[in-house]
Amino acid sequence: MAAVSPEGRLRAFMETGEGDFEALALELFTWQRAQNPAYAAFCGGAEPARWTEIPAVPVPLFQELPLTSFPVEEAAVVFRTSGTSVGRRGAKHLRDTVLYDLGARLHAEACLGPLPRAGVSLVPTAPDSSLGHMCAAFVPGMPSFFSAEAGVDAEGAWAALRGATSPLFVPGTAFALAELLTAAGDPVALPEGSLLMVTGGFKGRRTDLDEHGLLEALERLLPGTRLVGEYGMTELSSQLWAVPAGGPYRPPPWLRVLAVEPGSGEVLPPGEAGQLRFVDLANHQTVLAIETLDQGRVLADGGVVLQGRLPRAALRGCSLAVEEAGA
Amino acid sequence: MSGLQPGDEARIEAVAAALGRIRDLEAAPLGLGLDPAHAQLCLDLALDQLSEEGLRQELSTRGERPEDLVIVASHGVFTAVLEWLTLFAAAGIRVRLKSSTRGPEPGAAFAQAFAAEGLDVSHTTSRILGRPEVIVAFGGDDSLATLRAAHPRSRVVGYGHRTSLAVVNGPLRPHELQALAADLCLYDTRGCMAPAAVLALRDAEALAAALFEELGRWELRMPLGFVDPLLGPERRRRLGLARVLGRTWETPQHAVALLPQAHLPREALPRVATVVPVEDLRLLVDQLCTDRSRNSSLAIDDPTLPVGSYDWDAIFRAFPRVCALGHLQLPAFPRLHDGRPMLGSVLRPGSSGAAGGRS
Repeated sequence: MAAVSPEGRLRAFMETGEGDFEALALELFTWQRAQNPAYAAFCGGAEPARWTEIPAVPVPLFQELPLTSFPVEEAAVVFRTSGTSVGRRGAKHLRDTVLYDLGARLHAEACLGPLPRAGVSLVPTAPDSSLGHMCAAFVPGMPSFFSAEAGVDAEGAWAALRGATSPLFVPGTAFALAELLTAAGDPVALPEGSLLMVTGGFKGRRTDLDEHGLLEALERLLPGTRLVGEYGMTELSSQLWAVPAGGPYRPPPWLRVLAVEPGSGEVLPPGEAGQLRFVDLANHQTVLAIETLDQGRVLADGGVVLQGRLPRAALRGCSLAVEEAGA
Repeated sequence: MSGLQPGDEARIEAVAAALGRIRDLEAAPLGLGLDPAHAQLCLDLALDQLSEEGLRQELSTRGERPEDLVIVASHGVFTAVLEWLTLFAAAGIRVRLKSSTRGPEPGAAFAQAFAAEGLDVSHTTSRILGRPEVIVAFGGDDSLATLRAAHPRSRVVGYGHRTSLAVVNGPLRPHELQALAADLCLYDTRGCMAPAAVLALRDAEALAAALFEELGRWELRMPLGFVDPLLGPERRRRLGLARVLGRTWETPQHAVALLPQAHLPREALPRVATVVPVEDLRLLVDQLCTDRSRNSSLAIDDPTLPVGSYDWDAIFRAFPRVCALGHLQLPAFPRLHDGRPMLGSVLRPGSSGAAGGRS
């Protein structure tokens, strides 16, 4: 049994690139299977020889199973999914956020350069929001103009943007940014070096904007501000960045992405669209391999073109036709 | 029979001839990806349910029939529309059948057979439904609401998503096990009437193991056909959950998942039987009786279960249809569909207390 945590080697790999992704992934898999009875049962007799063969846990199972490589009662941090699409909230339990914080900053700075020291937040600030945690770690004390209960304080946010005197980091969910736009006035030129981060979709909420329209409007109203895209999820500990927003997402060296055929789960060649799986070495406290319900294409250079949520299959026979007939 | 209207008898004869034409069709191209022998079996079984006597019984429902209607057919169970076409054509209602663009073949073939006997039945895949007096549609609540909003001048009779279950009390004899496997396997588990789970009242592991063997025998006779790839994620989730919380028996074609009662699924998966040991009857009552509108059919091996049991009685009453094992996917005709009369639900309101039932 691999009783010694590979955390030190993971950290070295993240900081210096020292080590081999596949070897670390397989070592981490063996360690997690030994530490995590639920993951061990999930894997059954699987004996992966390559990182692509590591059994990936479907993200909905985070709503139903304790998936930690330590006793869950020792968790100091719990991140929860929004649950807006499926109605139930999944949870990720962590003993600490050391690797999480390290990886988030390393990859963000690799993609974006030094982060601004001031900000205006349009993301959730609840302590169980992994997104809020990451953004607060980037710019501690950043004022927030978003709350789950009241939505976006658009007027307050615009006032803060207009009053900025130093470069700003402006993280926002797509939906919150769409709400911000509803109270837009004249364009606001933020101080040079400002970054606006767009993350997430509209999570089942209806708006008149698609991603393209949102980015266009933001470019017009915040001229000169660099727009970047972020992709992350509670079940992951790493993020992918699209620079500029709208382009492919770039994973950090310690995370690799696979597109699989949804029916069989077989890995697809680069460039082919499929269901996305992630192998994230920074997920050492939970499970490193997860299967999302998102779809996209993985490019030959490892970048990812996101294509939204996987359509939900008609589980019952009497389900389909009305969608087609529905005006 | 006194309730019949003029022309009914002649149309019943024409419908019988149309069904004869359909019986002569090659089923494989109509089966929407089912194994050919399986498609043929399903077509034969569906036709066997339809009788002239049954038609006369249903047509005796008193009330004013609509002049025309559109059926928005479901996709997965290719014979599901047959009983509706049969009934409405025999009733002299002008019928347009709207099939899914993903699989128009069965609808087109069935409509052609009816039209060839002079019955007023046509087929389309167009989204434009016009302004029929009635639309009979199958789908989720949101979809039906959309349809209603888009067709305010038509009466939309909707049938939504529902769940069927099987309940096994005693150890099953071989023929009962075969019947349960048929409930699970017919139409490759595509319809609302395929059981989402088998509730086991005793020795669930033994039942699951035996069922796995029986599904294997089915697989040899009638291999699994086309499965929507988008069901893959749910299959992996369910089997993964069962590996952690229960047990699985798996091949790529068929599987049995043993899951705790708290994880009772409400959706069936193609040839993935989910066996759930019933450990808490009160919880089961909560799970099944809180929202009865989600329930379709309940198959049982022991009709005496509700006798003297308040809880089982409540569960039985929460399902519009209770049948023996092996009959889940072979509903009798005529019947109450999701608790509503088939012809009565499309009759003009107020013409007979139509929404209620038959005279």
